[in-house]
Amino acid sequence: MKHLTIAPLFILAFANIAWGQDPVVYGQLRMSVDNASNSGDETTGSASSNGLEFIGGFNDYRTDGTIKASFGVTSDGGQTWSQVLVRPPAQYQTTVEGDPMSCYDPRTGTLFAGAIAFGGNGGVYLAKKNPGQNSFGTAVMCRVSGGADKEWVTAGPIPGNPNTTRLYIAYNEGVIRSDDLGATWTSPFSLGTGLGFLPRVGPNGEAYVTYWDTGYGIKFRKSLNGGVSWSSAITAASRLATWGVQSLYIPGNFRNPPIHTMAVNPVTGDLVIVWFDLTNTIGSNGNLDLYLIRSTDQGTTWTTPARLPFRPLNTVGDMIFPWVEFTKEGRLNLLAFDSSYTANQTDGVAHGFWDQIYVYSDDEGATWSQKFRLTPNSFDSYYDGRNTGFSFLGDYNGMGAASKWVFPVYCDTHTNQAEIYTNKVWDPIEPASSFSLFRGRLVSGITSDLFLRDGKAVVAKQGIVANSSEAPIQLDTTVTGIVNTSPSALKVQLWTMVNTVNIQQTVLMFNVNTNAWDTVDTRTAPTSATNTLVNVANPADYITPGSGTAKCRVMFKAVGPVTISDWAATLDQDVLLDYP
Amino acid sequence: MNRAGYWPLAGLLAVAFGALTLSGCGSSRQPSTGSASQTGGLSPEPDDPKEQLDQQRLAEATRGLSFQNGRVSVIKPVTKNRARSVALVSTAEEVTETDNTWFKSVGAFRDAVLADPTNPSAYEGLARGFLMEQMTDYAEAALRTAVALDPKFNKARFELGTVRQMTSDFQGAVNEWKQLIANAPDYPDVYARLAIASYYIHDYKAAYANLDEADRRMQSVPAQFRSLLKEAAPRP
Repeated sequence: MKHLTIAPLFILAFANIAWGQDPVVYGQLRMSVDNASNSGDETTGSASSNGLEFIGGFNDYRTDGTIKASFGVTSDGGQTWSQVLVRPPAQYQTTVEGDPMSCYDPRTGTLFAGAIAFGGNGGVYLAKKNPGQNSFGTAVMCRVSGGADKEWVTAGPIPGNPNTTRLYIAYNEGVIRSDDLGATWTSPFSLGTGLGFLPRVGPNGEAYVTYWDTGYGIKFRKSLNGGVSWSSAITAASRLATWGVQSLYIPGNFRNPPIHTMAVNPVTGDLVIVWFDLTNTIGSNGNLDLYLIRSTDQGTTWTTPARLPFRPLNTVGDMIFPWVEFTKEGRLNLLAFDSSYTANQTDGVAHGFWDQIYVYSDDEGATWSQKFRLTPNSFDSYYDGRNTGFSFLGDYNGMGAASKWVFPVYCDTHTNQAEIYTNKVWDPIEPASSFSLFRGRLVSGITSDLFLRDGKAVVAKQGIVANSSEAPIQLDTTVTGIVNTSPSALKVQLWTMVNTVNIQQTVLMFNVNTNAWDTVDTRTAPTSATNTLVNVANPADYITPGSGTAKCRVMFKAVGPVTISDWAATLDQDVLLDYP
Repeated sequence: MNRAGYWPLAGLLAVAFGALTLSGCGSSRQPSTGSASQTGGLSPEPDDPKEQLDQQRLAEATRGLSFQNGRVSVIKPVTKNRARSVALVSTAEEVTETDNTWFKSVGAFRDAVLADPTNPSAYEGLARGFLMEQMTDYAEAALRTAVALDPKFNKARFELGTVRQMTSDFQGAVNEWKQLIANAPDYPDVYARLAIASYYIHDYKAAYANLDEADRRMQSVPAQFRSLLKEAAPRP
């Protein structure tokens, strides 16, 4: 086992206040720690709910001339890593094994890793990670087929029975499923022709598959009976342009097939599909951008494709290989290659300079955070480590999303060889699970309005008080399920305003050791929407171990003459922030 | 994912696959000057075990065919049997739909070609088999053969335009689709695709004209295209 030092780099912390709170993006961690690798590419990732267990898979070009499926594995939240080969049973092993896949079953806490053994006696195989250990159990052949190609796996409940797990693997020959955690599998249900069949499961067991028809179509099919039957294919979106394994629109000489990605919001059940496409041509350069569609009706209808605003429209540059995953809380996370950090690049040159970027959205892709650059420097696509005359950096990216933690998995060639890296990304926001007015009258608003600074707010007016010293507006929020009950830092993030002068705003936290409210901040309440960020000393005093519950109270009280007798307080955002 | 058919331009030049003709903005590549067995052995990446496997599959699936001068031909003369070829096309369609495995599909359509080398549908199917693995060079050769045999084979003509667009040959795509319109002005989405290809080569007047025609014929225009065209150039 290799031990790596994790250097937390708080790259950007509070810049993007319009969207609540930016994540903590830690420094780059190399996952391909096995020096028997020649290079690695084409990634996948999955993480346990608590973020402690994480696997990131990739094609591993061994120094013995074979290709294997490797997984970088951690069981301690990324403190230590192992690189583990995941192989099929001996009689199915071949010299070419790859196209890694992974998924997490939140019901049983099981992480799955698999790949394809290419060749006449090969097929699709899957193994279970041993809990708490950086190792896997014996792989099971899910389907023996010499023609199997590009597969992905997902897990979710059987419709109508939340206490079950059904695994789905979609690949070129169709969809297979397992109800016994991968021990046995059905025969494939053919989905017809296409490439890059990606399965996903909605919160109530809705099964979805999207794929590329190898032309202009981004196809979509669904099953509401647990994969027993599937709907006819619909075209969720039409591409502007299409190409084969390699477009000529990028700097560098490596494959970039137009495979797309899809994710299901576990909170709302909504779907998003993201792909890259040719936006325009400027001079001799074609410019590739990311596009997104969203469905709020289980894929029956889709929004108009939106070009994502990560590059100015009329500039030369490209973004490719997007990958999206939702966290348990509903944050949409996106990883992609981005050529825009190195200026004046020309399409088709041998040396293309790229970075990997991370962005997130808290409204299913309507608006986005700023870009977080994951790679310290642009890397040269030419140096994939294999010296074969052209580069191969994989055909897609991967990412694991836990509750709060996100693990992008990508290759970077800055060592003159394609290695696999991740950056731990921590979402510090702990939104309120409920709120109540200890004092005051509710004018408008619901709990979810306290999540973001987005104009949706809770508005309260003065209520009856026990005595004149009491604040007439006291809003209590309760946060439950905090995973990290001993954070290094705890903060209260507020966006508030009142409609009169001379109002005092006080923030209190409930001390679970003394069973009393502690005042953590007092200031004059703002008369225009203003951010308050309060550092809470001794964070562990305010989080109940086990339940991970914390309570916060925000009080408003007149301390001088007011201009409006029936004054009101508006809370646009009221969340806790915790840091590992 | 399979890597067969990955022939970047630099690789093509390095191993001198064959004639390289330039047309419009992009290139039209010819996959081979030799027989199928030669084709199978022409790997730009011989040391990659996956590439070796895919080249082996390609050689097997195209055995008996030659890809020369941008066309497909059979290596040994055969006795034409159209009825058998038609039946084999039908079988190949089933294989394609059920197995969705490129080398099985290519091999099945190859059999249909060998049964009757003058059957355009066999070549069109062969092209789709290649496109399952994004082998645009082979697909283009097969489609050129199909439309040479039947210049009014509309589906093959549309797909030939698509394949030329896939290789960044936008002007070539425009030319194919214009020929298709001459034969079949109501062919699905052809005006929509012409509009987009015209936009990429900065012929905005043609882009708007084709967009209008696509709308008039209620063709499927990617919704994101309208705003991009408007941003690039106001309607003339």
